[in-house]
Amino acid sequence: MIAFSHYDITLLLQAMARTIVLSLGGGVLGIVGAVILTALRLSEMRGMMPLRVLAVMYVQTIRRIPFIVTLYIVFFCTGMMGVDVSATAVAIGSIGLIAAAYLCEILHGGVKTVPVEQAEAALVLNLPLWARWRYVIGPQAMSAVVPPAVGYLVLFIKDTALASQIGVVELSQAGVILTNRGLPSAQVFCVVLLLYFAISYPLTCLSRLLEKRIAVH
Amino acid sequence: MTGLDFNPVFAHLPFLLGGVGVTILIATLAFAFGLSLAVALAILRFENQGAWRRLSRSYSTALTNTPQLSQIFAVFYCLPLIGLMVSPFLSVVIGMTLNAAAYLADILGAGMARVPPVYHEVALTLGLNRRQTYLRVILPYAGRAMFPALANHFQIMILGSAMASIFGVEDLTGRAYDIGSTTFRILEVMLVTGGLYALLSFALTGVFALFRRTMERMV
Repeated sequence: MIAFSHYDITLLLQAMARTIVLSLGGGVLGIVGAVILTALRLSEMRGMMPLRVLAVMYVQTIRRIPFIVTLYIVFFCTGMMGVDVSATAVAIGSIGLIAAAYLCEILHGGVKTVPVEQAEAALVLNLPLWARWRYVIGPQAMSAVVPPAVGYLVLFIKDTALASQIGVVELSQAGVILTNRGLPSAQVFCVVLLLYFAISYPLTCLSRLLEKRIAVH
Repeated sequence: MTGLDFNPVFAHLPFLLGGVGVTILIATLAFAFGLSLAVALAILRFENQGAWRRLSRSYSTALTNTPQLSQIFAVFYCLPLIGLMVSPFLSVVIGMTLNAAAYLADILGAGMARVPPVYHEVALTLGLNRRQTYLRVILPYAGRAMFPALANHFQIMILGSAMASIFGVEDLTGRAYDIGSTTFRILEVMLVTGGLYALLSFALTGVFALFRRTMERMV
């Protein structure tokens, strides 16, 4: 790789760090959002009915819209409302919005795999709400939630590439910049793809390992 | 926040709706080519033990662990190097095909592993040659067993085809962006576009469910 200068390598590494920040930030937001959405969907209070319907509609709809369209909507929406946030923040927010919907499906599905008798028994034993989730439902749902959730996180690391479209210089954008600067495109894209692989592959392996270790079939 | 004005968007609605056709075309072409390639990859994996199997596996591992966007960029920038000047549309279809083949090969491979051993024996007893065994026994079985996963991947490809807009292809997202830049109503047009994608996806879910029910009745 003689073609790369010190500055090119710095750009690539900074861009890779940006990709990781987008993934981590979006992932954390997504998990928080998914927990809230799942709590709404599982709540049995009567007054919560409209919120429950909204949560289901949100989860069902947002998974049917391309990430890039969601990204544009959030981007132009913040612009129109005059909110001054960086493109990176917009990208993290959009990833969080989508991740919340997907992770909510996984979380909700996982909780549903726990036999209802378990929750009822915990209720009969007069365990408080937090203890029911901490000691009874949570651990049992874990095996159905964690492997697909990690698998999904791997999927959206690759979605972060689209953040380039609103001006975030992440890994794929760095590749385009270097190519446009006149570097040999084959070499540039080989390196970009390898760097993505280096982020994604260990997580794929982790997901497979978890699948083998703890997943229920 | 200034008010939303959807009128300029509705004035361009026929143009936008035409983009739905382009989106479906891109996804369908890439799915069809990708599936053909995936069949070859899955058979390679199923028939061989050594290097060929590893090669087929590595293909899937490599392409499922890198973003589709970067793969399309690689196709877009690297094909001209070997003297192939292809249109953006074709670059996108080629990139999406290569990507889809990796995922679909994994799906088909899992389906083929599910074919009960007795099916192979029956095919052998009936005197089917290998080609017939694949075409009439194994692949139909795998396809049926994996239908939900295949249909789901087609939906993912419909969403993924929005990347075509980045390369200047006039698919649904590309046309939305065009309308946005001429009318300056980009937020409104993107909201309508998101709605169109959601409608398309719900419609496809219905079509696949219907298709599956018909398929099960036929068997």
